[in-house]
Amino acid sequence: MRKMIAIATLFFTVSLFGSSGADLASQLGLDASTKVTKQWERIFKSKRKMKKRGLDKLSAGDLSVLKEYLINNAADADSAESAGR
Amino acid sequence: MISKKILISAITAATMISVSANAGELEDRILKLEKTIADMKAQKAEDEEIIDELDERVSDVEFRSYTDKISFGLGMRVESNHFTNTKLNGDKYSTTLNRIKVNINMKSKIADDMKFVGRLSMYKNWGDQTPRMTNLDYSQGRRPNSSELYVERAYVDWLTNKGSTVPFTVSLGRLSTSDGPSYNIKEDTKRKGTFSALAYDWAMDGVILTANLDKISSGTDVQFTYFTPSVQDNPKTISQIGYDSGIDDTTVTGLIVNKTFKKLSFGNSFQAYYIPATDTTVTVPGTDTASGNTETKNLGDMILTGAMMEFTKINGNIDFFTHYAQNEARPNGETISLKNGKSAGLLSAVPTATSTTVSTDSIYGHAIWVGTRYHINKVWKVGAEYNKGSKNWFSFTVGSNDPVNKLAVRGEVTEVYVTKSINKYANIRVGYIDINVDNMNSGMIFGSPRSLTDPNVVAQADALSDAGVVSDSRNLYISFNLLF
Repeated sequence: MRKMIAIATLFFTVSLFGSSGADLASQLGLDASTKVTKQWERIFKSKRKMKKRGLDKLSAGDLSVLKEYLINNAADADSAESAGR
Repeated sequence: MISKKILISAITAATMISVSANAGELEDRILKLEKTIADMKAQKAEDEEIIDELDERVSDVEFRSYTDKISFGLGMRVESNHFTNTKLNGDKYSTTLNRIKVNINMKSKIADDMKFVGRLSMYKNWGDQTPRMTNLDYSQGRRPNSSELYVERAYVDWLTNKGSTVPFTVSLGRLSTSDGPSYNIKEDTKRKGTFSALAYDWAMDGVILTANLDKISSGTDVQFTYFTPSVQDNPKTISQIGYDSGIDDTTVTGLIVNKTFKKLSFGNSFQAYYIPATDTTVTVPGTDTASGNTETKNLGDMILTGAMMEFTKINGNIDFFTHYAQNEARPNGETISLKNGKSAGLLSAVPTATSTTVSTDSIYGHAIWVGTRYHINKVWKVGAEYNKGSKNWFSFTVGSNDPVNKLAVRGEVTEVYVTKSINKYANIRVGYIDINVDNMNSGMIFGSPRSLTDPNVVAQADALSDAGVVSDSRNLYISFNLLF
């Protein structure tokens, strides 16, 4: 029972505090709003372009999180609209 | 001696043969080289032509990017609502309301420290033949009216001191004071407004000063707001000097604290706010109904205090939000005359039928709003919301996103819905809203809300409203939503 609680706690903690797409983008110096969705998709399809931006060093999980973040926040994607923020 | 001559002759002959052979090979190589150079020159000329063509095309794009100063987007909602309403006397009736809203969204990056955001709106009921009140500035573009296009938003964000420890952004214009969190969950969009939607959903002109405290406390900002949503001092004459109408401007100031925990792996947003609206004005049809006049008065102050939290994509597929707000009405004692010959003050009734003043004691109301949504997969989502408002609950909402203004209800509201994505930009939502009203006149700032169980209310119910007082309302709706 204790093991199960420990595993559940660990899973929950990892789930809560995993790397966010925004963090990964910031670490790699990528700004989602500088490209449109199609351009980000092209980058993730090209090994050469990924290597150029240091994306080849990321794990499959981080890559997936980063791709989702960049596409969700691309210049042509729906954007938050709150004055001053 | 002879052998020496023979040797020299042999070497000479061999050398000549070798030179002759090398000369032939050299000539071949020179010819090949000349051909290669010619090919390269031709290729270079061809490449230069391509580069010139590309340069022209890039110049075209560059020209457009510098001259297309505003980028446009499209928002659209077409919906059909099928109501089944129950009156206090038990009578039931059904009705259908179809509506369409079109938004032309605009944004522009003017400079690194300045951007513009705008939204033009057309919002109407299908085939509506009823003249509506278009002079309510705060509801233009927010409530169905006609096929006219209103400026619902137009503001500039100006970052005044980029790079400072506490950067300040000044936002000026007709601001993002509507469609705030957590409308975005059901609408399947990103956050579209400043205030909690439970508290404010008006279109307002004014200023917001945002202090970004990110360098001091990660993900934190503080906002100060100033709006004047109801000004009566502008005459109809050509003069713009104005006059003293004797009615004070309604002023909405506010302090808002926003917080996001960036280290969390899912979206999160917290907000606490204190928003006093002073000198709230009320305009009602005058007692002289034949002349069609109206009466406008200041009835007192309304202070909204509340907090909210919103989480998105917990574990990748669960959204959740909860809001709480309290309103404090501070009547100034003044009353306004109603068509039925009675007078009413700010959330208060006159003590006797002949009284023209009300008590100045504060009156309190409150409301909660919770909701959740589950992402079944990338196409389907299901959600549920619940809100409950107390007897004296009042907030500045106009029912812009649902025809019954459910967040204003002095009673209980439950909503369930299913959303199906058609593509990245469009979805269809089918939902069911169940409203149980406990107290009368939801969303009305004047008059004392009375319980629907009050025998006097039951007796007078049908005389108070053309449609009779509705105690329960059920709305089955379907809406097509586009944001492109």
